[in-house]
Amino acid sequence: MRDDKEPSDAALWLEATSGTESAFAALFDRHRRRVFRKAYAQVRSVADAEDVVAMVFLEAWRSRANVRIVDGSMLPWLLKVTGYVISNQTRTARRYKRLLAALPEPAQVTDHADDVLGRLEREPQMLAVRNAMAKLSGQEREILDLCVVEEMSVATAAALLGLPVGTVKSKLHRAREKLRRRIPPSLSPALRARLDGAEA
Amino acid sequence: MTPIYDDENLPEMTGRRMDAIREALLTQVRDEPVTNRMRRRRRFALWGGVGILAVGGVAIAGTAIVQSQEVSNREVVHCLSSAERGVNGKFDESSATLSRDAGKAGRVDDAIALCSAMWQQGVFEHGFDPLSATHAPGTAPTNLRVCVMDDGSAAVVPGRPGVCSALGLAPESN
Repeated sequence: MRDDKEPSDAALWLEATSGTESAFAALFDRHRRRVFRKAYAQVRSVADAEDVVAMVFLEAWRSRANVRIVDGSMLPWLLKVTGYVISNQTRTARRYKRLLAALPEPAQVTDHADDVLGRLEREPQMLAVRNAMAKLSGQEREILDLCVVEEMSVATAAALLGLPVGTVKSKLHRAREKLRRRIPPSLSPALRARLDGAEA
Repeated sequence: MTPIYDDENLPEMTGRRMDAIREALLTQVRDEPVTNRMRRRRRFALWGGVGILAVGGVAIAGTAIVQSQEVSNREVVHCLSSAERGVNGKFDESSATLSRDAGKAGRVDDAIALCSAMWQQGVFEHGFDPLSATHAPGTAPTNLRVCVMDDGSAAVVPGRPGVCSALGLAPESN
């Protein structure tokens, strides 16, 4: 939870785009963890997820004219770009190879046995959801990613994608129907409830 | 806004790489105005070079177009008062012909001599009155060049070598 006295993303972004480094640093510190977790959930490698974080924030700086601040927050836009970067990782990495080459080599991280066991239990379920989502159209996948995976409101997703709220709602409904038919019945009730709850 | 994948066991970014990413990003923010300036300078130099090449190419092409020609129409000579076109793109000139038989033009073989004579008669002087019986004499320019008009006739222009090309006319071939 952010302190109300802290400047909003919108204010920081305005300062950052005016050339204030510290404002950009504050935004990086504020959102890097969330971007990293989203990246890690898909690439399953700390080093690769760190590379994604670097590319997302560099993309924000390079495309600063296109950044959308939704409800005073930059996070929805960053998460949307994270999705793009992950799905086009090879191409984006080529684009930002100079930045990535400047980063130190990743250290060898040993996984704790309990973590590995827990992850093995969760991964097939997440993998099943991801495989089912992969068969949807690009826009359906994007809407599901924002509204179901990230649990953003329909209004936020609509503002982010530049679509009418009604359009996002109907596309979300159709995408969820398709997803329901494709996910295996063995999916945990908790995860299934999350998928169903997105429409509310 | 709790993401579906969120899990307290998810790893964190490593401190060393996170600091490096932060520093690399801030360097990007810091250096971008300088980089942009350099990029603009490089772009200017590149397009400037292309422009110079293009102008050179056009000049060469222009030179090729206005290659020297022979005067093929010797029935008229255009004596130009200056090596400039008027605002309407036309030359300020006096044309001269020599009469032979009635209604037929004669041959003008020495265009420079003919135009020099016109200069000396004061034809190009300011306030010249063609109907007056007496004219104040004028002075012929020391440098007169023969150029060739589109119809093959000679145009005598005051100026140094190269003046024909500058006017878009072909110089007379020797």
